[in-house]
Amino acid sequence: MQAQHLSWGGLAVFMAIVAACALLPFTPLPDFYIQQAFRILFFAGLAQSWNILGGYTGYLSLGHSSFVGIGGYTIGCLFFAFHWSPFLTFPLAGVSAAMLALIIGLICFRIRGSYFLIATMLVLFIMQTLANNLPSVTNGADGIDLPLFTSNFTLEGRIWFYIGLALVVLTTLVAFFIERSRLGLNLMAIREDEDVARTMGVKVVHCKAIAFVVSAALAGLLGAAYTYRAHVIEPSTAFSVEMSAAPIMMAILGGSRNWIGPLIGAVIYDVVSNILLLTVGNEASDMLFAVFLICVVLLLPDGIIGIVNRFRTKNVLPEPPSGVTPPIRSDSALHPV
Amino acid sequence: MSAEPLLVIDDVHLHFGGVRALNGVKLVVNSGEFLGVIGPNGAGKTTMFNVITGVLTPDSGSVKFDGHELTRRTPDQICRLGIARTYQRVRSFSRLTVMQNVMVPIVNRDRAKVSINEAREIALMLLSRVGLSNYADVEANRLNLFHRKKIELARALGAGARIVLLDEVMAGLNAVEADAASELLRALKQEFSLTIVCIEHLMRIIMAVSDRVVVLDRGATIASGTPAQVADNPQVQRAYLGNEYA
Amino acid sequence: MLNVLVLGILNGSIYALVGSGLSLTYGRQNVIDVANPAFVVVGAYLVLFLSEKFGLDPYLVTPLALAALFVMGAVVQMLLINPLLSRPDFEMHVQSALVLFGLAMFIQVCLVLTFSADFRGIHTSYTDAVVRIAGLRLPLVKLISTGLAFVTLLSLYAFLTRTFIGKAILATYANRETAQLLAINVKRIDVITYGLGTAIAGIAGLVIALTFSFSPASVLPWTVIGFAVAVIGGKGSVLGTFIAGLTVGIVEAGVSVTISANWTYLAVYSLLLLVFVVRPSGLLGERL
Repeated sequence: MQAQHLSWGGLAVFMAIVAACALLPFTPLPDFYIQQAFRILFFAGLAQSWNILGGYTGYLSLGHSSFVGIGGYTIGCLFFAFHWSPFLTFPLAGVSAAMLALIIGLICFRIRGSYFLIATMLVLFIMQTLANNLPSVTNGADGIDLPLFTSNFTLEGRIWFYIGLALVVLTTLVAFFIERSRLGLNLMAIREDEDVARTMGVKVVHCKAIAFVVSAALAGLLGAAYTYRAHVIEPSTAFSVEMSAAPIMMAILGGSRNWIGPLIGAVIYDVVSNILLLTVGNEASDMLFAVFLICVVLLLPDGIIGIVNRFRTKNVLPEPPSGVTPPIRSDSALHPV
Repeated sequence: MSAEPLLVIDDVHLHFGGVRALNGVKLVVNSGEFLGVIGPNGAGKTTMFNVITGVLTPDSGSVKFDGHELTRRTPDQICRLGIARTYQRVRSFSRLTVMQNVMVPIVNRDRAKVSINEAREIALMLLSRVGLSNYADVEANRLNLFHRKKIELARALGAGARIVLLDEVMAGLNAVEADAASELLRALKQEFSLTIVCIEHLMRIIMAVSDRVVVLDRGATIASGTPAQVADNPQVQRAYLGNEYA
Repeated sequence: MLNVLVLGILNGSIYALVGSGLSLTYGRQNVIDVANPAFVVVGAYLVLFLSEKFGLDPYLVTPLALAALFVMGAVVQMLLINPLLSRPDFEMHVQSALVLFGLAMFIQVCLVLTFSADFRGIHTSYTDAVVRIAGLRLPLVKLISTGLAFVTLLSLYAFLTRTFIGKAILATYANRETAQLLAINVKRIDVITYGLGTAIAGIAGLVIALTFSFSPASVLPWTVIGFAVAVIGGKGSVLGTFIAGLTVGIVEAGVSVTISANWTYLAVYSLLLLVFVVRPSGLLGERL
């Protein structure tokens, strides 16, 4: 009776696909594709992490890039100031993102809906301005350069490929287990009707905070990976609105109500944007991105998964029940004693 | 049914802007009884429910449940203490399945943390008690009004509530459904030892089913007693001028 | 110092104008119009383009630009927003914000493609003139722009409170269902309101074109300012918008003098965030 996507079967299929991907570097596939694959993996992980708050809880954040940026700046600043190897400071990226999430949550969780969307965007701008104007910490608009991982081009491409793959697996597993847990149920109740959820005993503040922190920490790790791979970080790309908007679009496109949607959305988005880039060039593809966003929201609010589900759901309701069953014994788990 | 007060509302005042919504409401709910709450529209009945469940904080006065003061508590704390409610306009978790709807309060109970699988089983049992088991995996927004009201009932039971606040549960039901609903309420009340506070406009049901009735008008209690006593009260008749009951 | 502050007030009036189109549609419970400031920039380009093409004074081509913008706004409302109105409340709220956000991005890119990414501005014979009053040196254009802003806001206020359509607009956003009962065609009012908001953006565009330099990249900064003004000022309150504009202008001037010009944006963002969180309905708006 369980929804199919929550079954272990679905997860097994996913892991099989991951295993197949892991073998890619050993196939005759040109290195170029392995290099480029990191982008898809990054965005898949980003969309998945965003969805934990946005899709499950219904609080759409336009500031997800804040966590990517702070993750990147964590390893960046620690290198800039103390020359600590990013390899070692990597986990701290998740920690600092988590702390930022707590602060932002404290400020922003009392507002809902599109106000939350805008407020998180404002936070993003504030972060960007801070990064630009605190040169002693962040080297201002010049950004921070990071050392190369290795000098072997092919090897580096492969390492990042596997790290990207690992992060996608991590974010997906987290999403999967949250979805089938009590927390997941509570988050979805909050999404449907926060006030009623509260009167049904859901510790709303608690749950939102956990979702946000988890979502942020994952994004922070992704940001650190992205930054280290790019060897540089600077304010305008670290805290960019485009990078914040992209996961929203991917999650909505694929379907934001379960863990499969963001993955599908990320793949489609990346494929489509690459095609566009090759055929029409940079600016036109920005425009089409915007049109894409509009169309997705207008036409596919439940995403591709939503369309699939509409075909799978039988339109006819089951037989109405004929009556009620007899009373349960008083020693069952239901009774408040 | 004992005569011990379970819920005591004492002199509660609440205003919104310039409007006095509650003007010194006093109410006692005894353990195990079926208390009807009636009164003209705008009398403050739903507002009172909102105060009890912690959604609104009164300006003054106290609400005590089983000795606990409720006015400074959050709604989720109050739910865990044992108070659940239904809504005038049914508010189920639309895109969740019927079963998920009922599971929400179950997994959030204080006593003995329930695992998701255990919650599922409890929810199934409750659904069969209210007669919704065939719809367990159907999204709540696909069901008709009567079934969605049943979901709200099952949710209240899932919370392990000792007091259930029903807000015009009969509204929108036809005569057959209304009779089935009151029969179901009667049965559930007995089985789960519930205390029920019921806001209702359908006099025929309220007067027949309630142990006691309280009348609110303009944010204050104007009468309380047995249905017969209240029906004879001239103040009540005046407040209800034009209202008939079968 | 005083000079800077007075300049801040002048700027503030302009900001109020930029925000007033947004504020008009912000009055609607469910739609935060993030696309309006993009139309401000469109208005600026339109006025520039028309005046250059026809060789006319910018003021003369403005009515044409306004008409064009009104139509654009009406179309946006009909095509993009109306379909969303039938969706459940909580979704509509966010989805309209996303759609309008996408629209703003789309507009920005279109502007880049049509006009190039360079900074432009309208230069008239009096662009660099400075007026000296009471020991202050104030640019003439800013005084003119402030005057324009003033006149526009007053006219808007008069329109909303004195004409039938204006009152119908206010009624619709106060209570949609009741307005419908009063035989007001709310869908048409929506279209008119949005068109009106966009037309006002056009006037703001004229003012911007005269006073500042602008480029497609200006969409974002003006969005923040317009937003700040509308949110701080309060839902649908013209007076509130004006006060909020002045506030933003003064804060900006104050911060750039006391701390540094780099931090002005931060100050504005923070102020906006603060208002958003503490009192989302703004200073003079009704409680949310």
